[in-house]
Amino acid sequence: MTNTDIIRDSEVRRQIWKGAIPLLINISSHEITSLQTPYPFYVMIPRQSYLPTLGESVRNHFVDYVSTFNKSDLWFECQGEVLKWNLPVGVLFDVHNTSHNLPWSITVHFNAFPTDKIYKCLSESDVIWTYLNTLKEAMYLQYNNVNSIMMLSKNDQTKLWEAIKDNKLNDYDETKEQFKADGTLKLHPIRIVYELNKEVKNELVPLSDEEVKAETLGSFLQKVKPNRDVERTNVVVQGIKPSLETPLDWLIDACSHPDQFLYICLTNVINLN
Amino acid sequence: MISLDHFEKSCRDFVSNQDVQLQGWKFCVVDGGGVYLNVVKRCDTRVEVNVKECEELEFEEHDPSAVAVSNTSVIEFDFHIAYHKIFKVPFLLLRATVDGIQLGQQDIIQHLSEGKDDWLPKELNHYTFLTQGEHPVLGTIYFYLHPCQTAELITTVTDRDFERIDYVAVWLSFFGRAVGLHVPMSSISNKKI
Repeated sequence: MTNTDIIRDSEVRRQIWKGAIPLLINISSHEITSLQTPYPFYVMIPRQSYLPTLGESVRNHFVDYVSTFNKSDLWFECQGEVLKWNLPVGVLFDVHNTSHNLPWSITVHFNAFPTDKIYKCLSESDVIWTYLNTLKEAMYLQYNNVNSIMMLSKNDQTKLWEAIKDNKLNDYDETKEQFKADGTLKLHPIRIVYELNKEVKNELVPLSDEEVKAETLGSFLQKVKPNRDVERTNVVVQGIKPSLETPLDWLIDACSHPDQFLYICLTNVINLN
Repeated sequence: MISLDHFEKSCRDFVSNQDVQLQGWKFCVVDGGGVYLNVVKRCDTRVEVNVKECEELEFEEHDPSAVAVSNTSVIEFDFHIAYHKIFKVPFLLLRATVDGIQLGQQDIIQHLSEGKDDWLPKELNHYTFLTQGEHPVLGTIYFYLHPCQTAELITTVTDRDFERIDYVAVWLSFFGRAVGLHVPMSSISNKKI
């Protein structure tokens, strides 16, 4: 690979980090207890961020229109499906918004929290810890060791989190230097995200470095999902429809999320008989 | 670290022990793959978190015929042991309900640590103790003790080949203590440690 290629690759990563999703948030109509109907809430959220970071402002926007008000009972839904906030917003968008309409219209609920399907999120620290735990899982797959994350100072944890929330790639990369592990990389953390029976599945498919270097996106999917028609399935990574010829290692370098996982989203999945 | 096969075998060995069965442990197999161990513990407690009786969590079998006294409630702890695909070790998942209502992280920790002054550090960061996560077999949300350093810990207590020890029993003798689960001595054969 030449120098220009490397520069171009880091530029792809930079562009991906700039990605944000326009959201239109409505409240479920049967939860409104006031005579007036609230205006929808509009916001831009970075692809790498997480839905509960909006909790406070969404709550403030709708507070006067609902009666019961439990802090932890706020949750989001899209066309009847619960949004699993532990996944980055960009991944949720890629797998749920199959019509590609913008802004992405979702609904907020303050009642009937689906305890079985998603984690409660009482405060932003719940999101930070969920993120750090996913990062730990990725590091463990990569190096069989999570000590570098455990040793990360409170300041660095905050800096890391702020970087994700506010789209600051440079800050993220600087902090990443602090928890870089030694040793050879064992497995690449890859997840395939798809919808099955109205529920989003998030399947772990770690791959060794050798395998990653040998595979393209298409050959990899063919291998792990042999009963799927990969050619006709919609494959989306970080909001982009990459060519199935894309080398998998390039995709990992350029398109992994800040939790170090590469999320490959499949929609309109066609099953072969 | 152990393999999924070894985990499954170790679970079967564990529940084959009579004392373990008496504690209420069950081996569960789910259609379409996936195994886990499960035990449900119940204890009566006063509503105002007076859990003196269950601070050691040496539960008595709940007697359904017993009439509930107005100022007591039943806490039900639902413990599971499943296999963590990433860390390749068993991990302990739990839920607690009082009169059918699920308890949050803080409440669970409070119930578990009540009366145990030296049990948890004063400045406990509750996140490092209990984490929320998806049950790997059932897909529903549970609290769990984070398994990221389990493999390291087990290595410090035995240098034997993991395939040859009663892994689940040995592991639970460490991790169960934190939530009041005690492992019957008979389930661990000395010669195997």
